[in-house]
Amino acid sequence: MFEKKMILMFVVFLLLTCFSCSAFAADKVKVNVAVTVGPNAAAAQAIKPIFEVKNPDIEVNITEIPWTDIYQIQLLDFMSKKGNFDLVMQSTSFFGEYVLDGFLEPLEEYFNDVSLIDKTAFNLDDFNPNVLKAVGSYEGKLYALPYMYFPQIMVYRSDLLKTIGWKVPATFDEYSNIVKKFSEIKGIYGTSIIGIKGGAGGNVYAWGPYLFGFGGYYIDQQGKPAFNSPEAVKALEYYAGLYKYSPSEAINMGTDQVTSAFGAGNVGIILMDADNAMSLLDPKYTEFSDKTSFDLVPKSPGSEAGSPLLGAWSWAISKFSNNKKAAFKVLTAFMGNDPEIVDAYVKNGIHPRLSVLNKYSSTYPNYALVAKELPNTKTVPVIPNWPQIRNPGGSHFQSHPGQDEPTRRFK
Amino acid sequence: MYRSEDTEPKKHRIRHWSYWKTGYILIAPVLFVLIIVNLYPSLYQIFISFMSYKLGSPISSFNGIANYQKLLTDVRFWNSLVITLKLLLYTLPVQLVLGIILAMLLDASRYHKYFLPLLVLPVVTTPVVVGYIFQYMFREDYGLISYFLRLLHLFPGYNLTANTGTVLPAIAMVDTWQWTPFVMIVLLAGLQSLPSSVYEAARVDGGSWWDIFLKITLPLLKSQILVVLLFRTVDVLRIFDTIFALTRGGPGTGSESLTIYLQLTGFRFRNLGYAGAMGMFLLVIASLFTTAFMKLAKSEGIEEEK
Repeated sequence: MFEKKMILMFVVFLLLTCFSCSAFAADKVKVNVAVTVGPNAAAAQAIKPIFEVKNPDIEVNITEIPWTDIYQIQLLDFMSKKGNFDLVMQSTSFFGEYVLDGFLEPLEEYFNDVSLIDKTAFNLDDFNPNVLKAVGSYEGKLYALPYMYFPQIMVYRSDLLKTIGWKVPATFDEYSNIVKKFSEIKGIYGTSIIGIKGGAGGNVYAWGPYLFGFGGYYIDQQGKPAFNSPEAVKALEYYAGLYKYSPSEAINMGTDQVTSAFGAGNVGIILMDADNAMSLLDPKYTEFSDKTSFDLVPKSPGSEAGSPLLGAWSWAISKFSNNKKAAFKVLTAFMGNDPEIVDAYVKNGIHPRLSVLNKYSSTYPNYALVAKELPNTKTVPVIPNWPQIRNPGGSHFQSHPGQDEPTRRFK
Repeated sequence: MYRSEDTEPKKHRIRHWSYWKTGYILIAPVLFVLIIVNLYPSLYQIFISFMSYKLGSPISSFNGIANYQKLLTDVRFWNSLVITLKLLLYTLPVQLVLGIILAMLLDASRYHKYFLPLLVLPVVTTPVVVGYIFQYMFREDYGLISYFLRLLHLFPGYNLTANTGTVLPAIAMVDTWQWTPFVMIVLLAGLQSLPSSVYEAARVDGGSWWDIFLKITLPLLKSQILVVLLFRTVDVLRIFDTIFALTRGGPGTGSESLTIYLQLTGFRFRNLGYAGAMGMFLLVIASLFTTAFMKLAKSEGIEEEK
């Protein structure tokens, strides 16, 4: 009898424990966020614990996805209408498409809800207007908040430059001369192009500063592809010429692999995304961190400054999210101006707020450069059929330099 | 005891029906799975191939044979078909020859049971993993393949996947590394089932090793060879994961097989209707190859029986 009582008590205890646990879990709202691997994810992971301490009722679940796959994974989630991701991430490549297909929740209603946001602490004017336009708003309506942006900057090995005794290149001619000179150093590739076809992180974006530098643009005024304009052809010839001084696998490399090749000490000079450049200052990432320097992208003769491509990512609330209000809290907190959160962010990437960019310009060299470059940046066209234009373009760039045999450095 | 005239046939019918009922009940789960997994998707694919259907968009409309007409004029589609057929051409003969050689060597060896597990390892490795491993092995700076190519002065030592001229042979090489053991296993099983008396008789008649191979081993292995060719043809036609992990169809469209282009069309360009039509085309090609191999195998079987 006693045993039976004990067993009964134990079962009741177990049930109560389970019930209280589930009740406790139910109190906590889980916000699932999709984020691309790299600086975006690093910043989100750094902010998460700070946010969760300040908002004990919300748990942030970060899913890191490679930039090559995020479009597709999110698209399939939209198709299922389950809202597995509450916050979705989009680049300039497909922001317009997501908006036009009705996948993103307009943010205006949430911004007007005083219970969700302290408006005085959240000033939209503080966001870089170009980025806000490219990945935040569409036809005057706000759908997303810029999360990170990455105009290209020039990254080079200052020790190698010292060895050859040349000055930092300012024009494309000087740039290609230095690439050739660097490639004469044993074990060093002069540069590395980004060859893999694709938008942000791929060759269509990487080609941007060259294309703009030579006076071209991706589409013409009628919105038709302009990859065969005389300016674009010149830019492609120049870009293909650089492949001769790149590792041969650069044709299949994206921005992450090129960053790691530079970090491994194999590459002399490159134009790369400013957010990825951040990791090259980290001695834990590369032993060449103290030999790595940054500068503005080169300009073409006659122009006043180089013109990088402003790639950017933003976060938006999925139309199918089941926790839209909590997701909005996460979104505005991560992009807010809480000093502790901002401090965690800036160690990992380029913050989209202008005040932060200016504040940290003296601390981080790439922040100062980005601040200088911003007025000259251009974005990819925000048009619905951009993927259909971008993909054949990317294929064309990838096959064009692929025909040339690169110079061998590892003989 | 009175028995009606039709009692026996009725009993028989009942027994007969219960026999069939049991059969139907037993195959019902498999049938159900086949309908859900094979039949429904196939019918749905046929349906959407006649639609203008954009992934993620609620709007779709019937557009007749427009998707199929588009196939005829789509240069990129024909290019991907040529690439797929080239891959077939680069892989099948090599895998067959290597498979036969390895199978015969193993068959002749007393220790084949020790080698077999090692040789089979590539088959059990996930193709995506194989793709990523070979991505490193092809690298110019520290890749093992590039290193040996440099040593042999065969190529300047560059990454074989980085050039449109060499990317397909490189992919064929990876596929051959992974799937030759499969060919070998099937042929080894075939070899081990061959009657030794035929060989003894041939040797008594003074047949050389080459004669025996050409006139006895190969003809007797024909049905196994056809099975292997059938499997490998279908596999190569739908090759996706290795290419996706290795080159994503690049450089440019240099390794863009039909399945890579199909995935791009369906899930990047979100044109599911057109991708459906492409899938149907692939299905037709695969069916043609399958029918041809099946007919060959059947005629072999009939001849043997005769």
